[in-house]
Amino acid sequence: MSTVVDRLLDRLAELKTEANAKIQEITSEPQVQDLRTMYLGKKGKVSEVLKSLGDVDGKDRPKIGQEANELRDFLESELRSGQTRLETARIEAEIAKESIDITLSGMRAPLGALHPLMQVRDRMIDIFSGIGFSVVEGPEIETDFCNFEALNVPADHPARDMQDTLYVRENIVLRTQTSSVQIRTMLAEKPPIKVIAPGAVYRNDDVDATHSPMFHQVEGLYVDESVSLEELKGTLEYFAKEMFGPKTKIRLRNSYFPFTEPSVEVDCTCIFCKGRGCRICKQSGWIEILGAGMVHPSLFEKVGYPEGKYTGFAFGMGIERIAMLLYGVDDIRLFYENDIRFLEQFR
Amino acid sequence: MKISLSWLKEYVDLPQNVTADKIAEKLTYAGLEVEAIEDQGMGLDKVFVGAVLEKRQHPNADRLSLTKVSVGKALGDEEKILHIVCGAQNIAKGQKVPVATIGAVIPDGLEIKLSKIRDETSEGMLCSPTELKINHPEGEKGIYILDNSAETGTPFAEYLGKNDVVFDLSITPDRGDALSHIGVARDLAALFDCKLKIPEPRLSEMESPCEVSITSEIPKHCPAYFVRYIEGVKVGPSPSWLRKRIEAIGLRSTNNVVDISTYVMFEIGQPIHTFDANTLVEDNRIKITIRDGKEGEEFLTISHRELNLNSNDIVIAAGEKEQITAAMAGVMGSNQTEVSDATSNILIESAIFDAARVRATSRNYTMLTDAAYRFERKVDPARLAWACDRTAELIVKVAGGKVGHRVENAEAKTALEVNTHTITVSLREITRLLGKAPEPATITKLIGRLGFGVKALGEEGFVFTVPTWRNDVHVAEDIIEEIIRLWGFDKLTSKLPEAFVKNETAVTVQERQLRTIRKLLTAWGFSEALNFTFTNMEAELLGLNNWLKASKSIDDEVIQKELDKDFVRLESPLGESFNLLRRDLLPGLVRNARLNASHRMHDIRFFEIRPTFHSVGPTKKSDPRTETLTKENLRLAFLAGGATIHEDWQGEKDSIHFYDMKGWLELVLGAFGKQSGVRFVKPDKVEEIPYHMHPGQTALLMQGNRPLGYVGQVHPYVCKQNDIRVNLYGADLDLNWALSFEERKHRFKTFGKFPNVERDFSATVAESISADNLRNTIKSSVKDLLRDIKFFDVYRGERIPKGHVSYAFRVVLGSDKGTLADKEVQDVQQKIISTLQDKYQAQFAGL
Ligand SMILES: [Zn+2]
Repeated sequence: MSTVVDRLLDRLAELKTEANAKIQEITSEPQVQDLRTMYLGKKGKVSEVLKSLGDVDGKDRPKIGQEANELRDFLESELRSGQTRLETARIEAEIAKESIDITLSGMRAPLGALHPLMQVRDRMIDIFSGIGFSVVEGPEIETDFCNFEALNVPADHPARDMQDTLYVRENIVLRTQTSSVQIRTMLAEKPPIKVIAPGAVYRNDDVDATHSPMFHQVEGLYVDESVSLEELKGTLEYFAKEMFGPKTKIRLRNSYFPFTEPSVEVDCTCIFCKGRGCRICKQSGWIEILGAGMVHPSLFEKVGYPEGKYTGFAFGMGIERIAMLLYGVDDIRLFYENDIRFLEQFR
Repeated sequence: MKISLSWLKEYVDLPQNVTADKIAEKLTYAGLEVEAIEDQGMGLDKVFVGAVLEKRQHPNADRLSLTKVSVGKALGDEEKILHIVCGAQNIAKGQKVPVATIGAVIPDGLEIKLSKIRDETSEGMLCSPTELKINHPEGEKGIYILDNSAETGTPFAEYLGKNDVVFDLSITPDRGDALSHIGVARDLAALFDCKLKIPEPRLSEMESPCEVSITSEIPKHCPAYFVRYIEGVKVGPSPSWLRKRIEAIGLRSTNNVVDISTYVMFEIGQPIHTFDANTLVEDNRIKITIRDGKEGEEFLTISHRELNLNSNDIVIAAGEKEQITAAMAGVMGSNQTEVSDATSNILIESAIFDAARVRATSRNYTMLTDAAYRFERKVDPARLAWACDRTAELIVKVAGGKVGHRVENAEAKTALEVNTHTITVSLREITRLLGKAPEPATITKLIGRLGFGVKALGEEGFVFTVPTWRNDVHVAEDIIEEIIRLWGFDKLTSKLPEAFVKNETAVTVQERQLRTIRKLLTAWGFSEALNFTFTNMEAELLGLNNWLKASKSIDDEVIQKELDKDFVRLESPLGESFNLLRRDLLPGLVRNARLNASHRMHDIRFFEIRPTFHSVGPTKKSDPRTETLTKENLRLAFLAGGATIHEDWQGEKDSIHFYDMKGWLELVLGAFGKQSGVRFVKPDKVEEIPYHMHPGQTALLMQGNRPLGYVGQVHPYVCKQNDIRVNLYGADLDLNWALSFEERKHRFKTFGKFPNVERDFSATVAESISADNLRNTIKSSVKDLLRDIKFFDVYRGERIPKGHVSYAFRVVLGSDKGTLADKEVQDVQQKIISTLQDKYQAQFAGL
């Protein structure tokens, strides 16, 4: 009886050799399925061998079954790797054909730029909001009261020479300075007040490389029961260092504004020569960046605060001026032409 | 204002070694800003007067000579003789010449070094006028041959009289007291802690042969008027000391009498006028009346301008009948009474005129004279008589003559009796405002040097008496400014304010939302534009009016009416091109597109966030202090045209169209807080569409009846008129409205637990039925189970009946309660179909 067992085992070994040889020779993916059907299908050659299992002695049957299963596993595994071999060969061939010219430019959807003046404005807001200043705004069309009178500039005051005004009608002007927002803020609120007011202002100037009838300022106001000039100095020094770099120094010079007393003009280390002296700073090493001072007590009176209760500081600076310094823009008109060749440099 | 250093030194003993730069720095810190320093002797340092002792031929060069030149003791205690090689032909033994010694950098930029010229040492250079940048009639070719009287070794700048330094000061309008040499010297005395010296005029008076009387009809506006009569002056050129002073401060010397009045004005700050007295005399008497001008009064100025005065001008009249209009007070004298070479008798005027009236006159006739400038800033009442006397003293000195008594108006004496004004300031106040205070002794010294009376009260502080010339000092803060400007701002420590933060303002919140929008727009390719607020009708119309008229599509008047509605107009415009304020942002962006198109940039994307300006009527509770009868409305506009992708080498480019624009506007809206009832409306009447937009491709954004903005194609005529080759699309949004909602809050919602079911439909309806009609009908019929409706195709063409449109859309259904059963889905599907069939006679594909 052992001959039946032996014959079956031989037949399985024979199939293994035969099938394996065929699998190794396959060249296309359909052949994989054909071979699978031929050897491993329900009517395949391995199943055919097992049909004779009835002739085998009961104790030998598991052995044959095991051999057959091993053969199935072996062939299946070989078919799979054959399949993978074919697939990778095909993909490799495709990849080889897919090489591209990577020097052509990327597909770029257009990217816009924030306006450089607005970028400077945003930066200023960030710096001051970092030390507790909130943002307020006032109207650009102002009353004579808020723009001049409450700021200590009556009609015949020589300081009105410093700023030629654009009138909408009698007593209504395009504001000449964001300082008008100081008045509106104080009329609306009681101290403590700690705000900045960015915005557009207007002067009756002809347009040239350094003058524009419309430009922008940022005003600051801090009022409380005991605000000092030393705090003004500290605040502006903090601002200058944040804006122009940590090595920036500032200096205060006495000046005059009708609505502050004492009044100062503030210079910072020339950003071009780092203070060594150059053409831009006229060899002084300093560049004027803003005007400031302690709020004049008559402003408190005008807005109805109790006499002597509060002190405060205020400052104002031109955004165009700082943007021109920061970006090296030499003609103020560029800011209002909206030439894409200009704007896209600030992306 | 120009201030001469050598002139200043007549009034203040500055420390010996102090440099011009140091003086300028101190003045600048203290508020008298030095804008420029002009060193007249620039480049003449180390250039001296030399004497040629010997001249012989250079052994190795035909055209050169060897010289020995003495520079005296200019370079040390011993006389120094220099060997100098020279190429000029005009020198000879015995001449005096300018010698640039080693180390000099002469005005033409050449640095003088020890050198060898063809084996011969040269220890300096003999200079030509050209090399020294001096205009000299004979001086182009050879060496500058000097006066033989010149002393050997004298610095050359001194020889030329160019040894002065001139500061150009910018004086703030509050500091009228500093508009003179003595005024500046006073600040320097305080800054350098040294003594101020003011000369006292010395005069020998005589009985005036001519009786002078003064009447001020307007003592309120001319409280004091002083004169002196001088007989027998000799008008002529000024002596060189006077001419040098006048020229140093940038003026031209006229004659000795006029130059002295200028000199005194720049010495003390009091404007002085001199009349030819003979033109004022009647019967050996001079009668001066100060009065209001008469309407139309004729006046010929010294500068030969014919004016017609008015009653606001103050006039100095002479004669019994006031028939001689001698001067526009405080501004300029008349041609008729001007001092000329023929003048022999003069009248000196030193007076006070009302600042506001002088200012008005000066502005009215645009005569911004040095005198008017000082009257506007107010003069020192205590110096009127002094200035009058000082002028007389100096005129006699330079032009001879005999001086009569000083005469003034009747009110002068009482008017000038100034009430001394005192201010009490405590140390606590000083420390509170500045953060720290100097020692009391320092305060006394600094403020005392300025001429203030200072009385120290110990702990209490000080009582300061304000001097007559400081009309800008009224309150404690003014005194504190004086203290800190003299003490120095560098003494202050930088301190950051206490870190208190108030609740953020509404604007701070809005600012944050606007930044989100601005970032989105730049990411979509839009650049932020900024346009002038000013505009004009022509610019706003964008050239549309002619086209629209020609096409008769809209009446010109309609546009005009629209534009006239609520524009804010400028009363004092910047010319006709800037007489209105913008009430719409988009036209500005179209003009930007035109500019860029002219540079062949046709792919355009711009946005702008700015207020528009509108006239409004008075509100009920308006506060006159803040009411402007205008409204400012923050808006967003954006404009796009051209290709969707700019850097594209892969063939066909898509162009931006209406739905791109609408999509951007929808996304922008989504970034603001939740709004309800907002919809896009296609208006029935063309008048409801903004005049510069395409009538068939524009949607208005509405909430109820309130217009909030629009989106659409810019009118094709606009592009045609403005040479823009692409179709432009624009959008506009009311940001005041958009920002009025509570800031958008993100809140997580769990995903549905049960799967959604999608069903596609294809419905053909009449063309008048919009996608919105279908969407809304489906929404109201399905309600609870509806998750979404997406349109994915729109077809018009041969495959469907004419006048019809076919929409393909996908309906997404779902429930939170469980997976939808087939039956439920079928019911909904059937409901959608039957509703659309009933309402719109819709034909469904496949049914
Ligand atoms: Zn510099």
